[in-house]
Formats: sequence, structure tokens, C-alpha cells
Amino acid sequence: MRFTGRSRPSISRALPFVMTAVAVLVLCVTSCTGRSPVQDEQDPLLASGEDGLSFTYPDDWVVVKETSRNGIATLQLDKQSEQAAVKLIVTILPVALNRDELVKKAAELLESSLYSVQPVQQEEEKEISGRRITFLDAVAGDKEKVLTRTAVFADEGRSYLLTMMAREDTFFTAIAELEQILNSLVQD
Amino acid sequence: MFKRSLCAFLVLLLLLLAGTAWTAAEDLAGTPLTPEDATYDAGLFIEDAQFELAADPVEQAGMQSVYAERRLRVIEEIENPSDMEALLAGYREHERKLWRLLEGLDGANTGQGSALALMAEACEQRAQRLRAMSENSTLPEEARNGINQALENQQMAMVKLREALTNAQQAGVAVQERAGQENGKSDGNAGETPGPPAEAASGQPQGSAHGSPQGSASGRSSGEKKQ
Repeated sequence: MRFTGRSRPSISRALPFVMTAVAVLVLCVTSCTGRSPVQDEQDPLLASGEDGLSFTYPDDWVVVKETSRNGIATLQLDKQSEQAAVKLIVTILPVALNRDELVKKAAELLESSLYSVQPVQQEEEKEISGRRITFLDAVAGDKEKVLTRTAVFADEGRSYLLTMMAREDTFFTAIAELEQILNSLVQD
Repeated sequence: MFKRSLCAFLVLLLLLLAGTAWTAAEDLAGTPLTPEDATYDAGLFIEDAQFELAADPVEQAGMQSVYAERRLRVIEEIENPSDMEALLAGYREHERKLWRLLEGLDGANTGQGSALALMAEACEQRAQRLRAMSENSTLPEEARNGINQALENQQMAMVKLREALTNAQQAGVAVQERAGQENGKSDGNAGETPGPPAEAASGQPQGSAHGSPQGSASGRSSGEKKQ
């Protein structure tokens, strides 16, 4: 198993699920357009070549948390800059749920964990990199609104839920980055 | 007879309003995820992420109160005792963060009194439920110790909530008095020079801060700026 890149604590301890992973997930969180995360050697790389899991992300992102339980991997990446604070929470389930189940699970997740959340909206479906991805939007908070967009899809026996969170003023920039990530997903 | 009916009606109305407030606070917790849920960890991450994205301490305190409510609901319904310790640790952490946030509040949080009152009510309800749990003799000793520790954090949160509420109420009174004085001024008393509103509200003698018996609001502020 090989892991490189910036993360805390050691991702090799926190992600034993990769032992059984089949899919290759490459997350390229970048503000540049149209560039391949694999080609860009300047981006920090967090990768497990053997087990087929890899993430690449630019310097202003960092993996801040990760857990693994019953084959379910969860991790959080933060983008910290003077202009914006954006958070991305990724969950990988070891089963491929159908679209309705995934949408239901994502809506439950948002409604059960966001503070003072308004009804979750199912926004749209898009075909990205050959995958049918469903997006759900939610607004949360009383005085300080936090906007979220969650993308869900299943592929190769796994289900993926990616939730991007940002304040109102930076959310629409964050959306562009979520689309960039989804565009960069690569699978063996 | 009429007075008695009116009193009964008012009591009923108050009870209904109190009930509505508590329901509202409980509703915010929603149906909490349990450790058996596939997205449980993601849920905890999302809670923390929203907390970190917020900057307003009262909003953040509201979040911790709701998160504590969620953990407690799961603790109350838990079937797998092995999860109890982690849940209690999480619960204690939410209460600790809550009282830390409340500790940092000052009197400037006028208008947040209703939010703080809701939090105080929810906090008291949680304390009652925890006390009931700690008296449950069927629980393992470890779990009861964990609950007692949680109760300690709870008590601290309650103390801080009461302080914050008092501060908010006092700040509210000061603002009202200031507004009253401003109104009085605009009602044709322009020729008179009332003392500084903030000082009048706080009861502090005019000019005492600088030892000048003739201090005024404008004089004082300009003096402070120079310093």
C-alpha cells in the first residue's frame, strides 16, 4: 500500500477499506479548467496504487478527517483561503444502491445532520464522465446560511456521496469546483 | 368568575406557548442518525463543518445544543451498549463547547434572548433526562459514570446560559432606556444636554472614568480616541 500527500492523521491507518477497493477514485479539486489531475504533478497526491484509491488536490486543500467503518469510508477535505472556506465530505459505501435509494440516503443525511435545515431540494441530474449523477441542494442555518450541494451516484459496486458546503457568498464558486471534481473522476 | 376564567385561559396560553417553544427546539434535532447508519460518520463531519463555517457565537451555541440533543436521543434509544461510551463522549463534547461559547458571550447579544431562552429550556430538559438515566440501576457502572460526567458539563452549560440570558436582558434594558432617551431628545428637548446614554443606563456617574466632573458623551469618546 502506498500513500503520499498531505493528510492528518495517517490515511493508511484510517482507510483499511482500500484493501478491497476496486474502483479508482481520483478527486481533482482545482480551480483550473480542463487539466487532468494525473498529468498535473504539482498537485499533492494522496494515492494508493495497489488498492486503486487515489486523490489529487491542489495546495490549498487538505484532508482533515477520515474514518473507516464496516467498509464505509468517510473523509473530509477543506479548502482554506483568505477568500473562501469550502468543505467537501466524501462517503464511499461498499454497495451500489439504486438512484432512489441513494437520493433518499443523501436527503436523510442532510436533514439529520445540518442545523436548521430547509427542505432538501432535488436539483437536477447530469451525465458526467459517463455517470448519471443526481444533485441535491440544501440551505441550513438561522442567521448564517450555509449552502450545500450533494452529488450521488453508484459505480462498480460502490455508492458515492459528495457533499460540498460553503457560506452563501462563496457557494457558487464552490459549485464550480464540485463539478470539476466530478469531471475528474477516473476509474480503472 | 370572569377573572378566574381569564387567569385559566392565560395559564393555558402560556403552557401552550412554552410547549410550542420546546417543540421548535426539538424539531431542529430532526431524526438523528445512529452509529448503525451508513452515513453516521458523514453526518458528524457535516455537523462539525457547519459549526466551523458559522461565525456567530449564538448560532454556534444553538448548533451545539441541537447536536447534544441528537446524541442524547440516540443514547436513550441505543441497543448496542458498545456505542454508549463514544456517544456519551460526543455528548459531553457538545455540552462543553456550548458552555465555552456561552462563556465568551457579552452583553452585546441583545435580541438573542429568545434563542438563549430556548437553549436554556432545552438544556434543562436534557439535564432531567440525564438524571433519569443515571438513576437507572440496570445501566453498567461505566455508563452511569459517563452520564454523571455529562451532567457536570450540563450544569456548567446551564450556569453559562443563565448568565448569558441575564446579560442579554440587561443589554436589552439598556438599549430600551437609550432609545427612550433618544426619543425624549427628539421630542423638543434639544436644548437640554442629558448625560451619556450608556452611562445613564449602567448607572455609572458621568465623567467619572476620566475624573472630569463635566464629562460628556462626546468629550469622553474623543478623549478615548486620543488615548
